[in-house]
Amino acid sequence: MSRAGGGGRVVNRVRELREVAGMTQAELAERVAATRQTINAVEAEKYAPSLELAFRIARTFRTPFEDVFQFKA
Amino acid sequence: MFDIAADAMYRIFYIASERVEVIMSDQEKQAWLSLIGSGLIWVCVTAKLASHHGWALSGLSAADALTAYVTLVALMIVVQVGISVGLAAPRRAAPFKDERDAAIAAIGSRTQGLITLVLVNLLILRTFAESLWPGQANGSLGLSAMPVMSYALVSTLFAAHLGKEIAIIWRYRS
Repeated sequence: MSRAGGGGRVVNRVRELREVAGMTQAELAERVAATRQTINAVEAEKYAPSLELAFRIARTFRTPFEDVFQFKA
Repeated sequence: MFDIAADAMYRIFYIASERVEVIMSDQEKQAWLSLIGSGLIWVCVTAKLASHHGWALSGLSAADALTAYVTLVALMIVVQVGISVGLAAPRRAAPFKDERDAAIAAIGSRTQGLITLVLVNLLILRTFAESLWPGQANGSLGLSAMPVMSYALVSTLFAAHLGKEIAIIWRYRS
């Protein structure tokens, strides 16, 4: 579910930013209204979150969206 | 009983990574328990039914088919309610679902629909073949008889349900 059409894929720095913020996956999951398993899948880049969830994650880290998620062609 | 099963599943699929503990979501546990429970129900009822007819369902009577149908439906309701209650009981709330759970559930539903479509069409073709060329088809299932066809349709629903749970588990595991 992380593969986008046309051969590109969404990559992210969620794990790095979460660790810098000193948060657990469960804490981040609670803040963005997702499950811990989904946060784990996002960090492992096995799941590309919806725009809404991606924005919530970026806002939690107080980081611009494009610094958290990028599209690699 | 379901709490024990859920706890056993929890222990079996517990994974410890470097910094976090990643366990199955409630939805994945539900899919595993439903797969195992539904599979056991279908195998047990079908085996019991077949054992009364010389391990073949071609001579199935309407009364036997109806009894098996009612038994399957009743057991499925008990199992599905038991799983839901067993998973909700520890936190006294329905399992939380997020967008990934919804997306995976949608994949499961699509798989279920596809399997139903394929199997029903196979049954239709098989029924036509058995009617048009009686005695020609290898291992006739006796689908022209209403009880046999009914049980084949019920089995199709079970196969589609099991396929759905497998698709859900596969998506969670991949």
